[in-house]
Amino acid sequence: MGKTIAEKILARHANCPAVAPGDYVTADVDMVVLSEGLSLVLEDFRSLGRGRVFDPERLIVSPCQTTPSKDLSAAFHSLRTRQFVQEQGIRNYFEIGRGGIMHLVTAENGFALPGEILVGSDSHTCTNGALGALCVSLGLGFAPTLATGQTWFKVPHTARVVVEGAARPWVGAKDVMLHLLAEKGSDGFLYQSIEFYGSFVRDAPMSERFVLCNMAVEAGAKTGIVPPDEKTLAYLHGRAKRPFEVVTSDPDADFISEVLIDVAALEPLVALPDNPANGVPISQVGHVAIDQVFIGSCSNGRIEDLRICASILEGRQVHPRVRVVLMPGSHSVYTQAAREGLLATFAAAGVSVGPAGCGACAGFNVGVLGDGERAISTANRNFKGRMGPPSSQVYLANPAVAAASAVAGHILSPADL
Amino acid sequence: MSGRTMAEKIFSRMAGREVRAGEFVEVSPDWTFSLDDGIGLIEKYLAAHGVTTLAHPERIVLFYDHYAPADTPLHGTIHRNGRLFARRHGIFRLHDVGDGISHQVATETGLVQPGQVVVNTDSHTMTIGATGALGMGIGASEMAFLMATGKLWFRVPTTLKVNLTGSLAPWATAKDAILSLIRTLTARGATYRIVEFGGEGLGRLDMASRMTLCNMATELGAKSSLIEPDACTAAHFAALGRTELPTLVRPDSDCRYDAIHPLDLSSVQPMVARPHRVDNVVAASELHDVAIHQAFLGTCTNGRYEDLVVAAGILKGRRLAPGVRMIVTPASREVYRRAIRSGVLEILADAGCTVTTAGCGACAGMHQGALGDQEVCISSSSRNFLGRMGNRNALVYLGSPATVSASAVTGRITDPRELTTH
Amino acid sequence: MTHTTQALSFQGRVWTLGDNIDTDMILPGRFLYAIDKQALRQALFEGLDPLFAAKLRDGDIVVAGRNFGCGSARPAAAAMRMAGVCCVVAQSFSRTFLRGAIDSGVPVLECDVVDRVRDGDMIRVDVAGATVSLADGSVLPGNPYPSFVLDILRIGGILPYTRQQLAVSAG
Repeated sequence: MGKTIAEKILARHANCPAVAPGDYVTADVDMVVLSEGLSLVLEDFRSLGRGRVFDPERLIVSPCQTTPSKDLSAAFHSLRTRQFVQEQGIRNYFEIGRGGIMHLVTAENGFALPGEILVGSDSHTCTNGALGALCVSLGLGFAPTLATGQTWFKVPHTARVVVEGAARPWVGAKDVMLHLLAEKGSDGFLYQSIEFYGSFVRDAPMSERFVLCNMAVEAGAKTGIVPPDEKTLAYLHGRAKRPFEVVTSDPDADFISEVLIDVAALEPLVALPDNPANGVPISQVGHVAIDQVFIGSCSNGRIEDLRICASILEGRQVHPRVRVVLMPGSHSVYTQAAREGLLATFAAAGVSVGPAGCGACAGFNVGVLGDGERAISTANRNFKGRMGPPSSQVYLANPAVAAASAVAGHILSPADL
Repeated sequence: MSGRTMAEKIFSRMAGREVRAGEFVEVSPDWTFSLDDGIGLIEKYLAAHGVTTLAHPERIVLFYDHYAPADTPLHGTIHRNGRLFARRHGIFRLHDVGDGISHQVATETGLVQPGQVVVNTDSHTMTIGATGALGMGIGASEMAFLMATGKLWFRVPTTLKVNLTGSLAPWATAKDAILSLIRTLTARGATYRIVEFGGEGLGRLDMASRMTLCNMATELGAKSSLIEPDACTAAHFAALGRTELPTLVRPDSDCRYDAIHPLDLSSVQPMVARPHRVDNVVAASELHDVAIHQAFLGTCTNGRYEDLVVAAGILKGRRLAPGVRMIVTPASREVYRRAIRSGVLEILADAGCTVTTAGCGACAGMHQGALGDQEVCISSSSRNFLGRMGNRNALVYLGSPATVSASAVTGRITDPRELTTH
Repeated sequence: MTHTTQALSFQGRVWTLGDNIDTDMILPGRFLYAIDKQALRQALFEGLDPLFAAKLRDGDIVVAGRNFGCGSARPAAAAMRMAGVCCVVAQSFSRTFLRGAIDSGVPVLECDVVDRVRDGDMIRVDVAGATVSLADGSVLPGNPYPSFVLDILRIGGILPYTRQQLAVSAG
């Protein structure tokens, strides 16, 4: 019986000949991906009496959630993170002005590799499954892993999601995922590993593959994975920190389900409040006036996303009643956007460009909404109270729709601009 | 009778009769500015007193700068309520999230003309004195009264003259000059007075430098500060398309000053204010043993385009010292735009600077650059009191943009001349 | 070396919740990095009902529908325990929440019982035996755990479990 990518990677790292869905194993991890959230478990780590992390080279730390320190608590945690990094000799530390969102920084710097296991605290650790690694969120229970380099896993079932066809203008991976969520629900792939296939995935640049894996968690998945191909290898060329081995699923592997998506049939989707699975085609959204637009996040904060936004905002002004906050996903995206003239376009259009980081996504840094306000966001969650008080509302969309909506003052497809 | 100071002339115009220092007047200010960190309270006061119409909505301007973009649901809601307040009362000028600091926006848009009076719920309102306008900070309750009635009482202050001579040496700046003056005069040196800057050394200072001087006069305890309009002032407004200015208010040659202090710009060196007082000033070169963790470039004191240019000049081709983070908060959207267009922003970003949206930033609001315990920050802002940047266990040093940038490169407080001679 | 262990059988008063209760609703994001956690207890479930937290008493049991705890990884289970909830039963859990609960030592059981109970009912949950017993005597089966997960829960979470493991391996 053939095995899936998750089954193979877990077996290898757990030193088992083979594993099956439902098995519980203890496996070695290759990298631990962290932000200033590292500080949240320091007491836990110390209580284990180990003193040193299992291997300082296997941690990557990039403060991003509350940066630049948004209040004293944030400053406290960022400071403790810095002190711990120094104490432990952790070299893979990315201060603000160098780093950015932990998942982007991890990928950009070649720490996410095919066949490896990456764990982290953040729920979007799965983003880097796009590089063929098994990427799993441990929540705040990662202190033992810092000490031992291992953790327990329940072997997931694997689902196949096959995305075929050529996308219409302004439709991308974000819409594929919003559609998948709308079809299957926010528990449609509970506990599973999703492997992405199909011509759309094959033809997609890395930036779009990251989006697919990033949003897998919103469907209840344990992770998302894009089997490595030439594009993956090209991305990793000159970047990968170590030699790696590509792992792919066997042709006779046992998948629990297969979903086929015809991307050519899709128009841009918008997830209505209060769940990412509330996606509807934009033509069905109606007139929704907005107060704020947020462009950024680990979902759509890459240079490719910023280019799309700039192409729409070029020569235009954002609506006078709308405030637009844009935060590139990493500092390298920021500097590249500066070089390419994108930041100039944004500034001329009236967009307020912030520094790299998680920004407005989780409602505890900048861009927090007020009572009754509405935002459209390129991030990945729009639960009640996510970006402001419970009376505020968040709509999720792709970067092109967000940019077009910024100009119009209400939710709008760029095709209608 | 002797001649009048600039302040006496401005108050006389507002009062509609000739007034002198020491007299009380009732004025209707030309401009009434209000900020996000005050509007919530002002609305409460107005509501508590049943005020439904404002006297002069066309003179009111709202600026969202102290916590923009909003950092908490409370502040987000204050922002939203402010927008509704503006709409309800016919206040059509609202500078929303990302537009920048009120004093900066008011100056760079030419909204306030020389000789006009601006009141604002902020102690740095006197920054506008650089254009020859009189800016005064008032409290929220007074502001509510003013908005309701259109009038406010003042006592005409006396004036302390600062006579500028000479010119600044390379790497010495207006910030260093004002820090030197504050050291000499102390934090009580100009209490309740107007500080009026003039003299033959004035002509060589650009508008950005003048704003820095006026801005920090508040640290002398001043009620406000003014600069005698000259060719530079006229050029500033001409560049904004304002060639028709009112008769420029200048002090009479025989007016009465409380005191006249000389300030020789030629002898100014890079200076730094040590924690926790603004008048605790020493030469930057004496502090080379002080390691820093954060460098902050921004604020109404030194967050202008010219300041970012200086920083870029030092940071070009360099990277920040290990363990140092540098936060750059442009004072306005326009500053940000100019920095992008000219390539200055790219230089700062390449060096590892974290560039935020425009606003007050870390200076007082605690957001976008709060400090951890025992951390040391060198800042281009104007205040370093205990707990100023939010943390009572952190240390804030004040310096010029050049000193801030040089320190970010070496990781310790650095006289910029030390870097540039190599 | 002795370790304190907790029983995995509970009897308590029910609070029912629906499907897709997300972690923004359970524990607002502003508490993730907050040092002062005093206000946390009052803010629990704020997105759902600002008055809910005040009604919770020690020993209460939350019974929910599908996909409980979806969304961001937050210390939601630990926060609920701080507010007095002794265990959580749901038709299904978000894997992030489930892992967080186990690692925090908060007993949770997957069991489809939400349509069979109402607020205020007394039920018994046997996490080790994977059953839920209702007042009317019916016993419903839940999703059983392997013994090592029960060990983690019994000893109070992944930290004490790891300490025990490290002590064992040190000999």
